Amino acid sequence: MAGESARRGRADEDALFDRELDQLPPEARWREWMNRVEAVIFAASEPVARETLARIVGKSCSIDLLIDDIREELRGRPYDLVTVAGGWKHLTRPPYADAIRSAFGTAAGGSGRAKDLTQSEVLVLMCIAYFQPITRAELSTFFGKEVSRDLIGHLRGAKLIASGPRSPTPGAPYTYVTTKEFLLEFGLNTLRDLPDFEALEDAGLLSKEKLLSGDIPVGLASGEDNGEEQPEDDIVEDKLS
Amino acid sequence: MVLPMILHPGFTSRQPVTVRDATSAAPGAAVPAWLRAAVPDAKTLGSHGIEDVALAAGAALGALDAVVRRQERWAGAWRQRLAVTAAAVTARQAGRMEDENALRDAVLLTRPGDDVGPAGRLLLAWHRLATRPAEELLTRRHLAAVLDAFGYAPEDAVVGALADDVRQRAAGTGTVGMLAGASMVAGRHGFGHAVGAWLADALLAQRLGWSHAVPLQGGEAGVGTGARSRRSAGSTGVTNVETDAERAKSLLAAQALAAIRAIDLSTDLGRRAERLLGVAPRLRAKAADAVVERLLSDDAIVASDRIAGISDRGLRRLFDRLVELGALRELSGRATFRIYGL
Repeated sequence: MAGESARRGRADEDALFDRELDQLPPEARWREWMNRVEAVIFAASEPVARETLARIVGKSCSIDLLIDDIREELRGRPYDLVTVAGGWKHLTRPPYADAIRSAFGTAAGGSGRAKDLTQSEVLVLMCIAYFQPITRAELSTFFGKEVSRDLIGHLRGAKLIASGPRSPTPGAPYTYVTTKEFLLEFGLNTLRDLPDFEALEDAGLLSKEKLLSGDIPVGLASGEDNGEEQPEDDIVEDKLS
Repeated sequence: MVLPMILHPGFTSRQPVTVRDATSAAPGAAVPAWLRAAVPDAKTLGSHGIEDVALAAGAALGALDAVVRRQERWAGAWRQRLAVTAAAVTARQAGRMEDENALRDAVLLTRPGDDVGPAGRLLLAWHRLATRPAEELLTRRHLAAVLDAFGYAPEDAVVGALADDVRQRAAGTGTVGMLAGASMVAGRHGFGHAVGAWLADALLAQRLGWSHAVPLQGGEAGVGTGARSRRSAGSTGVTNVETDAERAKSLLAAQALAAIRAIDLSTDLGRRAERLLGVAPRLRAKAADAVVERLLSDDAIVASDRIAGISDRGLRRLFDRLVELGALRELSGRATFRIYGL
């Protein structure tokens, strides 16, 4: 219902809505802005972008400082405001992943997203995780076959990846990076928790250049239907033995 | 104060301008030869006594302090360039492949709202050190953000304990103890060398009363800070065979090297900044002043950066003109997606 009233005559409301709150003393004004921002983020199903938040607070207000203060207050709560896919969103903290998983049987409150990924999607996702930021063209080169827009779109839709820096190559394609949701979904605290990440670091194998020039001797490129569990292990054993 | 400095050379001369300004790039800024010779490198470290190393480190810090206190207009660009160096070293220590240019790309070519990726975040951590007021750096808020940027996801309790430990270090012991303590504190809480270096730089700035920290330790690859020692320090908690004195010595040597590197860069950037300020009065583009100001306070900018009063294309033209005049450099070496800085 809040949504409906917002839709009804947005222009009118914009004119009537008091963003600046000049009548309030500074502390109360700040508090009210914090409340507004948190309420909007709480009510939204998608991450809320900075431009959206800027519409409900004063012109002089720093959104970053507001968010910092809100997060300060959420310290100790099992959830936090997290930047996801270009906006802010309430997310539960990683230590509660187990509890949520055992309550719903899935990580994300019953959406069952992880189960929707095909093997090739998981493979591409893992490749992005280890070699981010990486473009779709680079992924395609590596896999030796086109990684489709649909596949990327699906991973994006599941919020497991997001746009990273534009690649400084013709057309300025987006690179892709993994999101916090990716970490949550796979029960990782940080990227360092990826299997054998440190061993790959030490071996200097987290290199896109090496990946693309075929210097990484793994069976990954052979396709999506077989052997996707071993590759990282192979690398590590090669290097450690 | 500022205006005459800009206008002066334009009126007086047409030839390549060097502003003779008492405050900028005075000859005294250069590192004296005896000091340069007194600082040991990794190979000669063993043959130097700790007293000599300490003397050199103290002298180097004193000279650096003088540079910081001049509060040059280009100090922002200077600190941020040092931040890029520190980030590149950090990235290498983390086993990542990104060099300085790739790190700049990650941050500058990311659209607002998109994610700079893991390497970009390393640069942002050092960027934070160089741009936020020094006295704020060791608050929980900044520590949590920096640990996140370095790829850790500590629980709040850990951040709090780290902040408390760091505060103790800042309040107590002498400067060497404080600096050595920074990496020990980081290691004790399970964080790597980069975090220790970041803390040490922040602590040093606070102790010396600088308004902004200068990224120093992070840029020193140093002895025994490779991937292996990072692991062993993190997992066993017991350090190598090094004694306390040995550790203090290599720390002091790194500090001296870093300070001299920073002073050298300041001499270089000071000269470049002078050249830029020299041609500034000749620029007719709208908002040229704002662009010059940005160039003096940032490591690098791109044409798509929003600067009030000048369009994308106008900025591109202005960059071309400045490069032509020898007052600006293109840093990426590319024909497209160019990145400009002093």
